[in-house]
Amino acid sequence: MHYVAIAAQPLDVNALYEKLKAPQFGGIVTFIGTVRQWTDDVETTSLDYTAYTEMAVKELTKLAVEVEAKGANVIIVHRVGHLELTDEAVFVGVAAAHRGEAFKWCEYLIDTVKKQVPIWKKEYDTDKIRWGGPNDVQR
Amino acid sequence: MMFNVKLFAILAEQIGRSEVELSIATPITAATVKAALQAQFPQTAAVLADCLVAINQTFVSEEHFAPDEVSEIALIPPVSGG
Repeated sequence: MHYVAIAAQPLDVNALYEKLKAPQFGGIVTFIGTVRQWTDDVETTSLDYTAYTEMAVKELTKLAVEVEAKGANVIIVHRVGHLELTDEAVFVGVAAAHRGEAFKWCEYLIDTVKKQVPIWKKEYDTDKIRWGGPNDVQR
Repeated sequence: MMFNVKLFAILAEQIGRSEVELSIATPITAATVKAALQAQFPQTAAVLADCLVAINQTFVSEEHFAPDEVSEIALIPPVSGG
């Protein structure tokens, strides 16, 4: 059974990993996105994440249900609030029968989360504040 | 007709509010929502060009909605989670 959430508190990655374990699965792949200091020559000091929470949960649920229909277990949790360097921003975990599908679906999930779930990053960099990162569209 | 529209991220910051009441032409589409915001807040034009529209918490594009089908409208700036 999938578990998705928008979390205002730090992610307990060990507890999330434990939720993925089950006898029918032989491969668990987890992706954890953390706050990075440098993006090329731009230095980040911290981030704020905000979300359209209700819609974000709906979108995450759609993604989890889609992958679980293939026979996996899915967990996706994204932080909101103020994050410092190295803090965990997102946890995506897929438990599947075999490693190949677990890797493939985990990558699919994080790529899709980044493209279509209504969550926004406000990045505090040493030169200025950016919505999205330095590689995103700038205004 | 008048509708409340939710704003997020850079758009909420530009206008200084997380929700605005807008006069939107009906039937409601993504285009009429964006036109309504631009008419009232022309300074949002550049950001608005990249925004998506969600009606009842689902992304919409060409679909048409009668007023009584609409319970929630939101403008979604380019997302940057992950």
